[in-house]
Amino acid sequence: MSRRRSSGGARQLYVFALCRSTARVPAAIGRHRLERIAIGGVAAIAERRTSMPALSERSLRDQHRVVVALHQHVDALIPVRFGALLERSELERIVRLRRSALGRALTRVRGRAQMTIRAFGAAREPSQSAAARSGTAYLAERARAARPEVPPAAEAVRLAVGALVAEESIEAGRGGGSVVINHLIRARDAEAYLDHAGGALAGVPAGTLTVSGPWPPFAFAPEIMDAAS
Amino acid sequence: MKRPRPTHTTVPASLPPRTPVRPGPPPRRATRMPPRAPARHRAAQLVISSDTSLLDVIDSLLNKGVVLNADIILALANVDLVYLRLSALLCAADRVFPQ
Repeated sequence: MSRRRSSGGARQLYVFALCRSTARVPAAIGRHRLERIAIGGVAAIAERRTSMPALSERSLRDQHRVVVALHQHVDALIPVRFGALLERSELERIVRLRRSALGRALTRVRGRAQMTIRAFGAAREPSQSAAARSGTAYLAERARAARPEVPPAAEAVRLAVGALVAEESIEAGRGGGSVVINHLIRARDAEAYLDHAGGALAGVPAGTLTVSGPWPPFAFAPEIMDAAS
Repeated sequence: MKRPRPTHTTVPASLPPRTPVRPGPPPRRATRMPPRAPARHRAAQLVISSDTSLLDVIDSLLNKGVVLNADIILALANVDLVYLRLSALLCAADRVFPQ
């Protein structure tokens, strides 16, 4: 896998995450020397690099470790997607453009963590009714069909942890997964979440469901179109 | 400075496969948490802090998180994981809609 070379030299910044400009950020995590680049009320946590990291399992795991470690130190953290190598001027422009959405997102994730439930196996086809009688009915049916169906075992876990969940996203799974449910919870509730989930998992066939976390709130980062607002 | 929180996962060290990642059947070995046990004991069993599921890593870093620039197509182990994105659109937005 080739690395994308850049012409900006060490002036370029590889961004791991965003946080409040007042947050205290470790100077280094592992071999990564980190800088906090304050832009208005938001700060980017980045390191100087000359090229993007190669896309490999090693570099993905390495970045994941950095973001997880940052989440343990920084109360409100928005992870950045892999591959964010930018000139400082470009970073500043993007963050300023999205400042309000990023501020809302930081408030949303403050003191919170993500838990992830993955159900494996083929997704069940949503039931299709007879031909829709109207355009509205047709669109409603399409909307229902677009939402992945949650298997009973995952639904049981979902119910068991429901009281701890602040926000939820449900999406179709990848890599053999049928559905992925992400929950945003208070970080201090992570152990209780796992405890409740563990009770609901008793009797669930092996290999059909996983529950993991706490993670940084990857799934609750602002969407790009929202962020531009 | 906050006290570090432990990371827990129910995914055992061998799952999912560390190389190549392809759509396919789910892992065979158990990934569920153990049945009822005292909470403290069960939580201790769940701590696998140094081993994160590759699926979690890929899904988090390539499919989630805020997009700053990702005008690239990512491919890994013959599976296109495209999460290319709209930084061009984003960067152009301030030109299209000058303030």
